[in-house]
Amino acid sequence: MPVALRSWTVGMGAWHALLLAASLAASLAIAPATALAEDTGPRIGAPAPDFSGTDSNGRTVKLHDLRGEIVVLEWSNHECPFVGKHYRSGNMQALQKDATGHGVTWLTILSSAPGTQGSVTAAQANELTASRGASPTAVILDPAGTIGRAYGARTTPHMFVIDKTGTLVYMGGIDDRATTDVADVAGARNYVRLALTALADGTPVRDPITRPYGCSVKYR
Amino acid sequence: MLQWLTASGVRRTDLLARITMAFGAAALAASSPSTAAGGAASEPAHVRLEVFTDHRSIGPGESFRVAIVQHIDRGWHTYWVNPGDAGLATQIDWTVPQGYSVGAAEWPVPAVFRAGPLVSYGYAAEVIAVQEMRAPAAFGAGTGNLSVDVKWLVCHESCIPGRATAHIALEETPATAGAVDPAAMRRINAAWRKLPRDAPWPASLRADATNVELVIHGAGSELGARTPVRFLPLQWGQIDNAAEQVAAWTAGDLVLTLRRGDLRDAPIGTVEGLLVTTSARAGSEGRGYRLRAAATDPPTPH
Repeated sequence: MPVALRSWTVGMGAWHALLLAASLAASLAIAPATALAEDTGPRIGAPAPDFSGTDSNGRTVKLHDLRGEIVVLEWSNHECPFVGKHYRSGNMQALQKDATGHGVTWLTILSSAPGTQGSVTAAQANELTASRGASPTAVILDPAGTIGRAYGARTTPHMFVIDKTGTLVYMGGIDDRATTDVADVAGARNYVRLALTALADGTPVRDPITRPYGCSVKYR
Repeated sequence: MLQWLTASGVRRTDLLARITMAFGAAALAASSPSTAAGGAASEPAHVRLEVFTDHRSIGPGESFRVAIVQHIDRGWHTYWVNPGDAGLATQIDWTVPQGYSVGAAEWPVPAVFRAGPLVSYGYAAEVIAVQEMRAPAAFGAGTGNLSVDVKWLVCHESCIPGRATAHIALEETPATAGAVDPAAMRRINAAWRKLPRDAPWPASLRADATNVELVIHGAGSELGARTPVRFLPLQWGQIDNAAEQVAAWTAGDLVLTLRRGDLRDAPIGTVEGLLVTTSARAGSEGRGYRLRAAATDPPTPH
């Protein structure tokens, strides 16, 4: 059963698998210590959930193909004021430039469902990258929310860092200042930068899990 | 239940706009600096702030209560202390004269909002938070000027940060007790009755890397077995907000099985939150019990 649950996680989304598992536990009334041995969703120290997506230039991006590279996942919605804080301040662009300049693969993922806030066409996504001076490696369009659900992405921004072996080493907020105020960027503790620095130094990531803050991801 | 905090110099907001309203004899003004870039004065979107107190005047050492009301446009909501999967808790900062004490804001039971696979906790339509305050032990004749800076996030599908300030000018009566404002007192009493109360039952928890089991001893005998209940965690990361919660009633105890949240691999010593019931016995509205459950065994290392 654990194997089956794991394989469903990617195909049908972590949340569905989770609900299924929970209702299964309820119907069997098993003590929780023994039920639900298999967990769903991303886990620090475990392989990051694999995915295949299409980027704003029509290319297929598979996480599996990026073994050997450090990968950052950034959930975004350009109309969200929390995302706006980090782009108006130039914080996100600076981090992207720094990271990709050091060989990191940076994937911005847009999981807004069609017709919801932050939903854009491929052309609009490229325009946003240009107009904001952003430098992600690719922008992945995830209108069905498949990748978002596999990662349990809840907010924009919501950040994940994957090491060269494909292991998840960070998930959470971009920093420790849960506000929409641009003035809070300067003094903030940027967890993504700290995780990337730790990976470069070969030291453990000190804060591997933090609270993501922002607007909700606009799933259907 | 109430923590008295000594108010110290909380930063005062520049007043960009001022709308004066009167509630009883306590003069009150609310102002709404825009949070948008540019600094033009404007009303915050979708939320109107109202602040009032249950006293017209106050005597030395007397306690009084202040209500902080958000009037929220239809379809929009603001957030509880733990906003859940997304959003931001409303933040209240008081600036009060030397010697005044400000208690913690008490929030009513929040609603549970679902959006796709996400769950957040907050308030639609109207929410009244209540704060207890205390006047200094002695003062001369004068006016106690209290001001509050309230920041929130209001969301429908989109989210808009908002902010407003409000002021209360409270007449200080050095030699006599203050006078209450009966209408304001009635409103605050009604809001007070809706606040969560401390759970009368001891609670403990057991946890593994997947689930937390809260054992609430004796809850069944008071609430009645099979009462629909839901646990709302106070802290981020402990509980998966969207996961199903399984309630089992055994021998008067309620055993609630909750899925662990993002911090599932960390030791979990205590869980705090609200046990919310919608029992017919308790009335149609959700009744909230403040619960604190501590681990019975040392946390299992993972």
